[in-house]
Amino acid sequence: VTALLAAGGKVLDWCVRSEGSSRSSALIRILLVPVLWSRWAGELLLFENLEPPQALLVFSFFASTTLMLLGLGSRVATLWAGLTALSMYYWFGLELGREPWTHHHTYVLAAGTFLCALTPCGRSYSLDRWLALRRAERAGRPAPPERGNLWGLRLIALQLSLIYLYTAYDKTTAAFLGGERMEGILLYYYLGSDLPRWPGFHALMAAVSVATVLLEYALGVGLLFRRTRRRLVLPGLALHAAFYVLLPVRTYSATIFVLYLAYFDAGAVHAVIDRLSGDAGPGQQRAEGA
Amino acid sequence: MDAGREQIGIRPPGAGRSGTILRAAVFSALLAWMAAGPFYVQVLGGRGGIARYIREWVMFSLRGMDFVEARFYRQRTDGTRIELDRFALLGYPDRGRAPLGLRRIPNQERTLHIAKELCDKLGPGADVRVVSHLATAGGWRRQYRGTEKICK
Repeated sequence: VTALLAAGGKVLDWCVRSEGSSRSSALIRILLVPVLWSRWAGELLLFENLEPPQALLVFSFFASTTLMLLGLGSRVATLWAGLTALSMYYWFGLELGREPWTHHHTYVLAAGTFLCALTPCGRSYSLDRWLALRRAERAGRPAPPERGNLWGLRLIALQLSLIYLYTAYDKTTAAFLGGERMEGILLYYYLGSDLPRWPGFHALMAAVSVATVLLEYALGVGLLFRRTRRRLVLPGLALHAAFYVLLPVRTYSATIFVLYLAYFDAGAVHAVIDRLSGDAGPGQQRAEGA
Repeated sequence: MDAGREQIGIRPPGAGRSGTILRAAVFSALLAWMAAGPFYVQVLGGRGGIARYIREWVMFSLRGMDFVEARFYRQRTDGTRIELDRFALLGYPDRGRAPLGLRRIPNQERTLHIAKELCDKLGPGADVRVVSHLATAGGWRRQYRGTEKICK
């Protein structure tokens, strides 16, 4: 019982009692905006959306994402953008029947934006930060730390892991693992009705299918732990790059690339940025332990 | 202060404690939605009601289906078969210039229609056979076994 309580306490610490650098959160905030724009801006042109609910949506989308990018009232702006994107998925998509807005890539983007609002995303790389530095300078106080509670990053990481686990579970069927579903997808998008007769083609499809499912299960669990993360990050990124090039996943891969930052130790990301900018600050020393 | 270092297990005193409790409550609610929602729909098979608002993670499980994988043959009188190039026979120099319905055959009716067109092209007495499968969620489902004479 004591061991269980101790383990529970450690999990609780990791979930809601962790503090660290706000830089990875800020990068997620900034990088999500071009993904949001590339997914929706073209469908939210004002002249095509002059009716009141749509016009309000246009205003809400562009105002919130612009503030989010600039980092002015960062967390409020990100929450606003996240709720706007969620309203596009739930209200305009599911309720009003705008079907393309109900796809998995739009949900990931909306949910990721919403969860980013729970991170300290305004304490770095933002107008909020610039104003805070100016206030501190005028008051003769030291610069405010680029730190905050990391619970939002934990939620983003857990959301990504759950996506991997559930999508792997969905593929754990005889039809998928045997290669037939992979053949169906390959033919549908590339080869039409002509199944290749190469020797070993079916075995290759089965092997690719099994490897995909095993990788997704591994990513779902392994990316949460430092030791296994190192081995899994590149295969994970390669998997999403392949999805991006081979299949019509829209902004899904780009969103996942951005949200991967949540898996990394916030201190390690901070240290890498220090190193890239030639600042041999304390964060750099921590990179070795990350 | 070391800006970069991650500190796990912070214990804020006084008012900070209620913030931790609130965070833990919101964290638990969001995690429950993220984890239990798909479990209800994907594992337990929940449908209707709240299930409509739960995001399933079933990428491409509904893609790559509802089309036919097909091979067309001309059967000789001695029982041997020659595979037919449906694109060439129907007047397309390569598959890239053929219409989508010929490249990716959508259903059994279209398969039969193409086979009959091949019969017409080959002329009287031709014996065209088809081996085809429909792509379904459960894998390939056999349609024509190559035993049926298509040409009348």
